[in-house]
Amino acid sequence: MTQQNTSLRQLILAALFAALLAVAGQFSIPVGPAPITLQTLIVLLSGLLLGPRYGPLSIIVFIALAGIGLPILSGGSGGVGTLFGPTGGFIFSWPIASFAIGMLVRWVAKRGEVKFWHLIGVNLLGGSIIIFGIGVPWLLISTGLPFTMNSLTKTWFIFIPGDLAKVLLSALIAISLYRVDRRFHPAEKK
Amino acid sequence: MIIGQFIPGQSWLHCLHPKGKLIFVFIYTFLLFWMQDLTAYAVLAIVPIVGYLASGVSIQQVYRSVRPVFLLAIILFLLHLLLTKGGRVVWETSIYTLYSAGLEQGTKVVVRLLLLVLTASLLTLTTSTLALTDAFSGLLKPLERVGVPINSFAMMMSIALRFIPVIGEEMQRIRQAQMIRGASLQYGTLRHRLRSLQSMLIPIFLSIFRRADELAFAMEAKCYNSEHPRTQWRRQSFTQLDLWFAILTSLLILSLCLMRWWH
Repeated sequence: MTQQNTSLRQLILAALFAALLAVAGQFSIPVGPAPITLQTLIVLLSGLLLGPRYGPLSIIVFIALAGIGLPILSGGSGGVGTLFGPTGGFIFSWPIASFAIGMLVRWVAKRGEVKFWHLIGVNLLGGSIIIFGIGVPWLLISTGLPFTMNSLTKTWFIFIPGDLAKVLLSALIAISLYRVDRRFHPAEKK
Repeated sequence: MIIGQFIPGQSWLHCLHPKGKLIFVFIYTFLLFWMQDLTAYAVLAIVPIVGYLASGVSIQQVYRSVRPVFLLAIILFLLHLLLTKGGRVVWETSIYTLYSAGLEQGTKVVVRLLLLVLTASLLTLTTSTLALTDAFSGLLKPLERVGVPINSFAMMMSIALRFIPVIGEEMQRIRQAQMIRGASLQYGTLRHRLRSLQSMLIPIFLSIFRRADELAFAMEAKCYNSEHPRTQWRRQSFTQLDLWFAILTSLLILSLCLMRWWH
């Protein structure tokens, strides 16, 4: 396979991931007070499956489509209104999280076989910490709410159970796909 | 259909150039965050009011635009009532005190959020998604001078846009196929539902990978090469209407700057 063909296929793959991220906003599993949406799950998987270069690129394409107004964010919203609204920080953290996950999983792959608990650690370090580390301060700043534990409790803790479920599920899916098709495997990326 | 926000029409809002409208929405967003008082918000509120009246969009459509953020607006308002302190005490009990600053801040946040979403929705209701992606790619052209491959990015946006309904249908098909085999996203233990979700997503990823291979081969067979310049099938030109739109936008910015300076 020529370099040109590989490059074009990677770009198309990133575009299709952006489309999948858009579709994922329409699905959710009701679990407790905050429903689990698939979008964060796809973000974690974009880093695990596409790597540190095309994973973030797919999310940037998605953000561009949301920015011009497509109603593809969670709940059917879209446009710069939502991107620069209180929850925009979570969305802008996604390409950074995807990049971190891609780098971490590649680092793990260079040191031997990738195992399930490796991916759990990668998702927590590169995913959850970055997404909440950027999203929660943005939420508090944009709404003028104070940086207190009381404030954090009400805006953040409600989402932890769903987020942990996504970390677990994306690790399971990635492990399965690594076995099914070697091209997904981080060790195969250049 | 999740990308069917566009409502065809003949109003002057529909006829404005998409690039001008995109630029305006970004300017409007900046103005909303820059201004801090309700008087400025009243001036900025003229934009969605005039826009919706001119475009002929129905009240139901306006409500559907706002509905996704309605719950968020309520939550933010209540959070301010709970957490913001200062100013006059409006109401007091043994476990909770309501301050005027909380009411004021809550109102500002909600008004700003609604104005933001209403104006951005006006853009998508009066402009087709294809026109918007063309306009967005066009506005990114200057980035080519710093090495950003805008042609590839525009291609990716077009492909993603084209494949959203395709992948949506495929997701539905796979979900139904798994449901007749006992999978469920709504019932059963959490473990069962997560396992069902896994069985739905893995085929989707494999399908996406296969589609990427096929599309890459097809595009190269048709002589696509991102490093060579190409012609454009879809074109649109600026008109006198866009000139008036630019003048009015400048007047809006100027009046808000004066308000800011006088405070």
